Amino acid sequence: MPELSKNAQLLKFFSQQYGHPGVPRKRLVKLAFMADVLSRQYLGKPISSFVYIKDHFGPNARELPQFTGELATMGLSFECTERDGVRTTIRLQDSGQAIEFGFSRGETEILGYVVKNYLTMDIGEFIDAVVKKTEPFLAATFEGEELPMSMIDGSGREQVGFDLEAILAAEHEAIDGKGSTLAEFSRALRADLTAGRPN
Amino acid sequence: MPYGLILPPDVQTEIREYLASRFSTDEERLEAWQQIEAELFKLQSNPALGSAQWGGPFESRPVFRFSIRVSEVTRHIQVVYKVHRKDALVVISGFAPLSL
Repeated sequence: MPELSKNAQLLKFFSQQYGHPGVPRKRLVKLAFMADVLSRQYLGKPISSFVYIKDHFGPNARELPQFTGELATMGLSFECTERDGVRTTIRLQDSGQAIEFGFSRGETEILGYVVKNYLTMDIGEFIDAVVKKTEPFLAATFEGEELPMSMIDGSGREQVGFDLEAILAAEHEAIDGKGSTLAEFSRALRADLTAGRPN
Repeated sequence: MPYGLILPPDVQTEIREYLASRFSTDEERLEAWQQIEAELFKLQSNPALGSAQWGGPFESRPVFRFSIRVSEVTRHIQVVYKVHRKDALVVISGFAPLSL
């Protein structure tokens, strides 16, 4: 199987998480946008290479259909169109075929956060209270303008003072049982610091 | 149930490097560590002491900030941690000096 682009992986991830009847494209692009916003803030770089523009319904990525097409070609997800009166909804439905995602620990953490908080959030509230309140969206002035995404690179990391990938690596060490209790570490450290002292 | 506090190897290294680089004698390092340990004990006793940053992956990873005073110099430190309620554990996942 040819290698799946990171953009297509991101869309596959969200369609897989959303499940039946498929994630509406309007929400999908906002989920990808929020994942990129958080990744830029806390990891200093985006997960995808989507170019976001200011649109009436929030940020949009015009190249998104190219990557849903990539998923369809590989039989991983497919798009279906629903018509309800004048309203048309394009949904990306997962085929159920599992793939191995190439996301880093930090990216996986951010994707988990986006899913937990925004996957089923009321779409109007998600757009108005979250997506449209992000700095890059607020910084763009006219529809069709590219959002200045790099303005937020590393801002979250700077604010919190810790690197997310390093934090997750330490958490995994603890999960693997490699840590010491405070008392154990203190005993060892005190012994080292007093080793050369006369009694 | 009282909480346990775990320091992963990376964090142990960060603490040792901090003590080695900021203080010139082992006496000062020991004094600094005693104060750091006292603060970590406080956190272990009350894992709600830290504050979380809203709107991102640090929502579930609070940061606890404190100061120590050694040889008449005050220094500020922060640790980030995760609380595992089911296991009654506080895992310190980062330790860093804090510039104010």
